[in-house]
Amino acid sequence: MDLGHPDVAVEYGRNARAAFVDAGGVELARKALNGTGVREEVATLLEDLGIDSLDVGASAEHAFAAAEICRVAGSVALPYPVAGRAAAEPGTAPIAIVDPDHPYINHGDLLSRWRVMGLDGESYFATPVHSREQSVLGPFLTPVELDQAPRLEAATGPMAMALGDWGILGAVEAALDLTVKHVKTREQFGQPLGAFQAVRFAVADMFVDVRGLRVLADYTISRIHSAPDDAWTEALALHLASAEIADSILRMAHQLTGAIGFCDEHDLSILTRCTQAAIRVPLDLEATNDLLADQIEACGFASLYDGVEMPHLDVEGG
Amino acid sequence: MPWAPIRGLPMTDLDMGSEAQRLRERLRRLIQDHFPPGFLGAFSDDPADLQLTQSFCERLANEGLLALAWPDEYGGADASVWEQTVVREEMWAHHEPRGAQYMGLNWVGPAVMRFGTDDQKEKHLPPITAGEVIWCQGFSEPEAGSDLAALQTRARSTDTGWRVTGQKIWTSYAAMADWCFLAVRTSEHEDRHQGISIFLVPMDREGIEVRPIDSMLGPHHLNEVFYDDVLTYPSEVLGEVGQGWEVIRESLAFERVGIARYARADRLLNAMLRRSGGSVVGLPSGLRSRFMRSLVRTRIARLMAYEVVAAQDGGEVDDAAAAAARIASTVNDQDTADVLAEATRGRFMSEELSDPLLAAIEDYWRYSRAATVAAGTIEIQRILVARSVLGKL
Repeated sequence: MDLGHPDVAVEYGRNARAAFVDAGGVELARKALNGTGVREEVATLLEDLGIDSLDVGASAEHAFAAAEICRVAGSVALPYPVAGRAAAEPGTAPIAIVDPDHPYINHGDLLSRWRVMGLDGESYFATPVHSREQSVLGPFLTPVELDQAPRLEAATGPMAMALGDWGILGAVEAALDLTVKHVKTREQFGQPLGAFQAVRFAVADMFVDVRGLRVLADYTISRIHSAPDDAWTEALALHLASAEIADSILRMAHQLTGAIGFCDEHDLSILTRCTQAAIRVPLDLEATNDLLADQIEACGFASLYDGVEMPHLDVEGG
Repeated sequence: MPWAPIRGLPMTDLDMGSEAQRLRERLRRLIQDHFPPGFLGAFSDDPADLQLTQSFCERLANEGLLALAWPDEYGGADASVWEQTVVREEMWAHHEPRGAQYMGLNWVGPAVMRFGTDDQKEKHLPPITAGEVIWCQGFSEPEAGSDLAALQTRARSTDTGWRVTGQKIWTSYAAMADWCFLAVRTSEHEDRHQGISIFLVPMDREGIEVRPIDSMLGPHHLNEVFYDDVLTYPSEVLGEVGQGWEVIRESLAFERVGIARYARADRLLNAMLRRSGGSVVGLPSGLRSRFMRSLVRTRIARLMAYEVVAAQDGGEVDDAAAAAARIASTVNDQDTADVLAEATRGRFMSEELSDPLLAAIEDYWRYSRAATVAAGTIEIQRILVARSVLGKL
């Protein structure tokens, strides 16, 4: 069994991170939140990184490269719909998942037309209606209008959602990083916060969750690519984990960082605010549960004993 | 904190290759053929259950499957880490049909290969590969649990060897065991990790008394073992005298990956899903999201274990990753057992005698209560992770 993350994807992510940091890192999000028109500059940055040459459907290497750029984008709360753009075939409109009953796309106002996988199973074109007024948790959520469109490839929507979850992964990794830095340096009662066992255990639990999300995210990209019929189930499973783990990690990060973590000057505040849309719109944890339940009923859930006969566990005669 | 990309995950969908899949199916067929419905392991009040596992071990040995993971030179088949993973998964999922012999196979044997003399290898390894011997682990004491270096069982020097006196506790399968991998103190030092030695002691030696401890985990899992002036010999020291701590550390490293708890969780979740008509809709309404969460977390536990396996195979040692995998696995074990118990609406503890799935869930729920305590508590795992992530502060 061939193991390991493709080197080219790792390199791609590394280059992207360097470019994002060079351009300001989280400061880009801060500027965008303050109304400075920085999102168009981010688009140029991504184009220079070759985001439009990624063909995630064509090769696993490209899929992982897209995942990596989404992850590093999430780690700096990059104010741009990176996942949607990366999920699209080269030269085509970006992809979004939309609830037709509540049609919003994060950063939807940045692009004139989107290809949409509707939660009702239909495919649409989406056009932005208007930018929203100031919102603390959903500053870039844009209402959109939907028109019928030709059906998307089966794995396209799931891949877009999975790439969005890679953005969440980047955000929680960054949140953990910020937390670690804080508890190592902040001293109270004569010692760093990180010397207290309760703090150490909390950080350990965060590490376990982030690590678990990472391996699941890796697996999901592989599976969407190799088993497109199961793509939606796998993407929903990843989103289930992402939504829960993000909530838990961000909550604990704020707890350990204290009051300073709520200030907009602190990157954690920006990460928390800018990640909520990916976590909850269009699918929050409860909505994901509902859809995953439908998928399991229809297609099962890939596991060691999925579909395996277990006569020794059956009731005799039943 | 270094965010190097995590290595160790298959590029394909956990495809271990056709050999491993064939092995998995072969093991499932063997288990199904050998054991009756309702079999829940060797550790019951019925001696016939132990006999079944002993005969299964002989059968596996005859088929060349018992010591699959061992090097060819010691009677094994040099199986790949993924074939070893398949064995680990199928055994744990089916309530460990090798009974108490898994200890010898998993780490006692490897420890003897690593530290043993030629005589010790010749004496101890063939019976393990033949499926003829049960080992127990004499580590924990009343005053030495997580803090194993606090052990006080002493070996007093004599002309011919030593006399061992002390008490071990929690020794699983002690009453079934033929041999004990015994940690004792042979000399005093300021650093408690020094002066510890490992003896390979036959359990029928004069002066050894086993007292079973009744517990909610079930028979045989917990025992006291008293050593009253027990004779031991230089030929029974594993490694050097005083090298015990190093031997213990490396022996435990063979078990770094731990038992494949996720495999039993996986099997029982799927069994319950089948019982509910293949849909979570049939489950109690408040339970559906938790059930699906268990499916996903079980998958995560499996993936994290694979990551550790792959790293180990590549010669990498990542204590934080191994500890993290263990935390994920043991917490998920308890959560999943809770979900399964609740899926039965209490019937797992009132009707288990007439329904093998309910009986399996009942057994699983009780045993999972110790998941975060046994073989290294979750607090120790968290300490290991924190040490890696935060360093000493």
